[in-house]
Amino acid sequence: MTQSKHFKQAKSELGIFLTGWLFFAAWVITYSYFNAYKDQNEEPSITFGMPSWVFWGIAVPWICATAFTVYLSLFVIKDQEFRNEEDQKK
Amino acid sequence: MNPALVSFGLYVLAVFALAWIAGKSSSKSKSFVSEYFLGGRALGLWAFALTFATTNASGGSFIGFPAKIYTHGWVLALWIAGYMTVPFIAIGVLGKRLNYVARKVNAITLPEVLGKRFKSDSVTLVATSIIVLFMFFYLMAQFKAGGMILSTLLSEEPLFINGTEFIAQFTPAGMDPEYLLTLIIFSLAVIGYVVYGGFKAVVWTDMMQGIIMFLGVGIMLVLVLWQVGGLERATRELHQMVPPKVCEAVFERTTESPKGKILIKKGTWYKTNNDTVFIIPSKSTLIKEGTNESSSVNAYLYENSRPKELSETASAKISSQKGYAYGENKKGVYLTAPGPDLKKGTGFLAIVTALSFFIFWPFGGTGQPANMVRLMAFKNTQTLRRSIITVAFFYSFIYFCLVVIFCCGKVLMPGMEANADRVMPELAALLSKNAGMPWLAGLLVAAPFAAIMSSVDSFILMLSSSLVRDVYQRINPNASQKKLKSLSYIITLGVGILAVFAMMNPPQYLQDLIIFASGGLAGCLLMPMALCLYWPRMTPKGAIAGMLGALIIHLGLTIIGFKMTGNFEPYDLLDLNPFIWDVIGSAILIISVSLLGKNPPQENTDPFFVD
Repeated sequence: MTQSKHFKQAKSELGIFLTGWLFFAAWVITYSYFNAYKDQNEEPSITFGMPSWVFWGIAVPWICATAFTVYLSLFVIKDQEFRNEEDQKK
Repeated sequence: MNPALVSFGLYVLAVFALAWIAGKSSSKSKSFVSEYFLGGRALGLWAFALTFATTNASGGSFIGFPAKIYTHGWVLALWIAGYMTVPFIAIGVLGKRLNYVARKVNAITLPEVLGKRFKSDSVTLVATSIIVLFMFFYLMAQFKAGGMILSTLLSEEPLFINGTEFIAQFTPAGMDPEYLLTLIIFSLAVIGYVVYGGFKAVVWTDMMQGIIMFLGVGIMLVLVLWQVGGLERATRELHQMVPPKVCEAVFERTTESPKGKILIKKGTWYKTNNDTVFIIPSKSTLIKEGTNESSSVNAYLYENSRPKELSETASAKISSQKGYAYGENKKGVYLTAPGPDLKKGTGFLAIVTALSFFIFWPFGGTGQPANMVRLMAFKNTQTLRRSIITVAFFYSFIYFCLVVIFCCGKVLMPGMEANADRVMPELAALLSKNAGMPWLAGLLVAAPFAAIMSSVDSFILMLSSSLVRDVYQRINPNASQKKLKSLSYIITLGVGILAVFAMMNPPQYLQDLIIFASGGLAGCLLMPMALCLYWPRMTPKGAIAGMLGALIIHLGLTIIGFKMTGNFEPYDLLDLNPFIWDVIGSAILIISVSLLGKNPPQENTDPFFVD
């Protein structure tokens, strides 16, 4: 069975999506594990108005994930022809 | 008339107008079912991106999520962080593949895609049953949320008060006539435009609702930051706050008390003679005129947060104080993980739970049937690519800003822990009042209302499409377009009415109901759909085993949770969300049952995997 070009392309894109997810999950969870679960009884550590762990562990990866999403959409996901519904009826 | 109500009414009228135009344009199409349930597979960038984004952002995002931020603080940024990957996972993983295949085999619903992949009616039937079961629970929760928001807006309107009194005559004991009236108003509005306009009306109104949500959050962000004096100031004040204590306040008549009756009002701040501040969260009570009896009421005691103006000074004694299981007297607890928790001694969000939510948001979103249906409806791959970018910016803005807004909101409006589900409309009203623009509250409240409407409309349509296409058309494949049209209207109306009847006596926990239903849907359908599109070796028996296995795991964990806690909340085995166990169980069953069976015939797999 020769797999269709569409199926092969979809599989390779799937691999990139899942790798991206793994990277951001590792960043957020590891950083938060080491920095968010600390008591702040005295002077709080604040960056740009928010707790520092939120800035470096959530806000920055969120900005990077959005940039990564833009990159995927512009350069990784390939355009493919879809079967038109009108053609299908014919 | 209340200016907030006027601006809110204008918004609702605009929704109707849009739905009417959509319904007019839909009726010109030749294929009624495809047009009514999929909008002719012709959604462009804004329509697809905004309908996808708003369907996902339900009442939970604007009612339950703000309540959680308010109760537990900045840790909610970690809880919701998985949303940073939702656009490329939930749209990217299945989007192109599902749309391509659905067009190729001319499928309109998800059970139909599965049924055509395996040439099996049993697979279609099992998928349809699961969708109908869980979607009904989901709809129930959204109807309740819609009613709650309306009651905030309408509760002081004379016409509404008269209406409530009228309804009360026919309301059975134990039912709240005010809630019943808001439920009827909300249902008439949503069901009306869904029945008339179908998918196109849903998509067009979703677009407008998406814009309202975006504007609402943006305006709230500016107002709250301005009124609280900047984010840093709010974070520093939040650092000083400690969770309240649950206590009993015993009110007594003293020589200083007023002579007449003493009303102990719900939602009122009191200060005792020794400067202790507390609030009565629920149920007003009364000490009758001429009596010396005391009245004991539940209260929340605050040690270092209080409103700017205290309403009343009272002669009351505080007894039986009980602190939070995690975070009692702990400064900075609202700035760090795991966050304060009233019941759990380990805090709100353990790191394993945070990981399970990082998995749940993107992959749970991928498995939602209402999202998958939208993936079958976009026009071409250019639309898909641009929509992923649009959704990414939309979610980043909405969710991160909500965390900021309600962390600041806690500083601006303390004392709502016991009624946290009402924090969104209450904060909207406060911000608008402080800004001297009371009409703005209507627009701000329209944002969560839009989120609820956009989810309810999608889910009603999803349910009726399953019944019309996967059940009726399977029994009567040669039914005429005219017959299908009237049946689609009747079933859509019937589903809506049934949901209203089911919600006349609503369950208490809105967010738990949403998590149960959305987790169940995604848990049962994610792996069968993903493997059906990416694994040629999968068999129909594997698909059925995967769906039923996940269903049993999901119900089992919910029943165990209910037995253990007495609440409608699932058992988090190893602190992991039940959805993760559903998906693992489903994947194992699909793969093992498929490998134990014969290879599927080539004529079944070729249309999906070969050009």
